[in-house]
Amino acid sequence: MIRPVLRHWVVLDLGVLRPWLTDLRIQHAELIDNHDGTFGRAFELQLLEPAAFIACSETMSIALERGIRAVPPLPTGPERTLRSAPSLQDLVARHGGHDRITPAAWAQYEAEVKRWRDDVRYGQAEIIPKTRAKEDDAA
Amino acid sequence: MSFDDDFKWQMQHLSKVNKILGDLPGRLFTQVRVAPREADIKRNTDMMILPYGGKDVALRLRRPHKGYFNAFGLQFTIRSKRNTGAETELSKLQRGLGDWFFYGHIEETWER
Repeated sequence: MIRPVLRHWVVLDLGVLRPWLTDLRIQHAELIDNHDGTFGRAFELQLLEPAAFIACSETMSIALERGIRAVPPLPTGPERTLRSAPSLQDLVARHGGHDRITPAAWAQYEAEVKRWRDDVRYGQAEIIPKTRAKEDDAA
Repeated sequence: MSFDDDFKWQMQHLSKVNKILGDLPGRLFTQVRVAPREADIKRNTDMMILPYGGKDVALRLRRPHKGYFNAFGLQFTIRSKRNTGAETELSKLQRGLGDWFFYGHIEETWER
């Protein structure tokens, strides 16, 4: 079972940080394109003065002192493969034609599509071992 | 990703943030409650603003992406430009919003 954890975190004092937010020495020159009509700035934690840190997690402390690679990784499970989206073609075939699909069947299909989209959006897609995913795709 | 999506996703992890802040030495943060959604929309759209014991905490959590922490774990990012021309989180922070900034990465671990 996959469990989300909040292991890497930092609490910064905006009273100290605020004047630095325009300082080009602690941020990357290039804007980050979020591909949603917005852009961001990346700031380097290692370049902040110590007074900016209220607290940080153990892993972040390790990363700041010894580098990211010194942070022990979490156990990972089987590789995740996204299950297929609900098939409109199957729905039509099951009912013998597009115009014969009942309102209830449409509602069920639309609910399945919404669930699938949410799974993709929130990274909670069903875990399917790679071998089975290939079989499903082939079927 | 819309504001609603980000808001809902961050809300899922709020208890983790509460626990971390509540466990800090000296109990810097004692009062934990979620800011009204309307207030978030008006004040800061990318980050949630949480009032903790008289302080406003700007919260930004990163979604779990494979390899993301290893690549960008020592950076924090703040939205600085919108094509719509709407005010950005960076601008809001610069003009004084928030007392503290909580920045975290959600990771996924595997448990049997």
